[in-house]
Amino acid sequence: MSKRNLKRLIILGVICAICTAAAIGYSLTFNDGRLVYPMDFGSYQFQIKDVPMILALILVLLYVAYLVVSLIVSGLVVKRESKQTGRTRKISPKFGYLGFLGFIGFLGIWTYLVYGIIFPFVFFIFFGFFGFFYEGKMSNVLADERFRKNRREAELKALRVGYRLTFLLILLVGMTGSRVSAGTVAVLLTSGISLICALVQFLNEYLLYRYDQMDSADWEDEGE
Amino acid sequence: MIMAEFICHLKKYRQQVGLTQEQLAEKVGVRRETIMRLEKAQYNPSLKLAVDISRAVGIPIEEIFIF
Repeated sequence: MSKRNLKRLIILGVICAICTAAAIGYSLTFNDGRLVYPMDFGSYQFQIKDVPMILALILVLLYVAYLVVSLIVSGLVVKRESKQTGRTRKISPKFGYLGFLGFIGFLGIWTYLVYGIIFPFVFFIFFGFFGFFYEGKMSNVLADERFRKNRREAELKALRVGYRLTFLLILLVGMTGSRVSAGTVAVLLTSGISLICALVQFLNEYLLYRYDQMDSADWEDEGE
Repeated sequence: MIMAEFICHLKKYRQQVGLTQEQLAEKVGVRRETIMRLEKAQYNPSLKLAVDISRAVGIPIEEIFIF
């Protein structure tokens, strides 16, 4: 994604956030918090004072759609460029810091205990972004046949580990039987599968880097 | 990782024709690290790469790679 597009995305995001905050403020001040607090949409009746919140909601939805389309297009462009040049995609190792987003998953403990909401556990999947540290180190290198072979091996090994862990998780959940509630099973599966996906993603990049850099100490004395 | 079981004389022939690893890598379209692995017989090349290397150094494949 070009810097211009990234700048546009950030500016639109900020505008979107300001508009949403203003709409929420308006709703809380003049409209009894309608469409802010949970409400029964079955008996919902439109009021003219709801318009700011509805507009903010539409704006957020449009922004999310734009964000998703931009990311997909950007991903496709990078993939096409990578195919044309035969090199790996350009990516900064700093993207690895996105892996810290995975810690948001721990919010799930609080949301589950207080509100019974399981969704935040899905954020554990972001731990996989720590793999960008390794992918970034191999950014824009020639993907020759040895690299492709290593990539296949790394993928295979990562997937094998993921498959085994998924099996163990299912076995564990199955063994709990009726001793735990359906909610606990959902938490176990959501967090477990998210963590496994993250691990597979991370291992994929880590193993590729490791295979590629193995015996790297020997390389130094071979410079000619 | 499975190590290839073969003998590789690439280093000798490459030096004979006066090519560096970098130059040979560029000629055959691989990374320098791949040439290094080949010379250490730690990587089993594809037939295409073996042919390309053979052409680049002007030596028959069977003399470079002994399986």
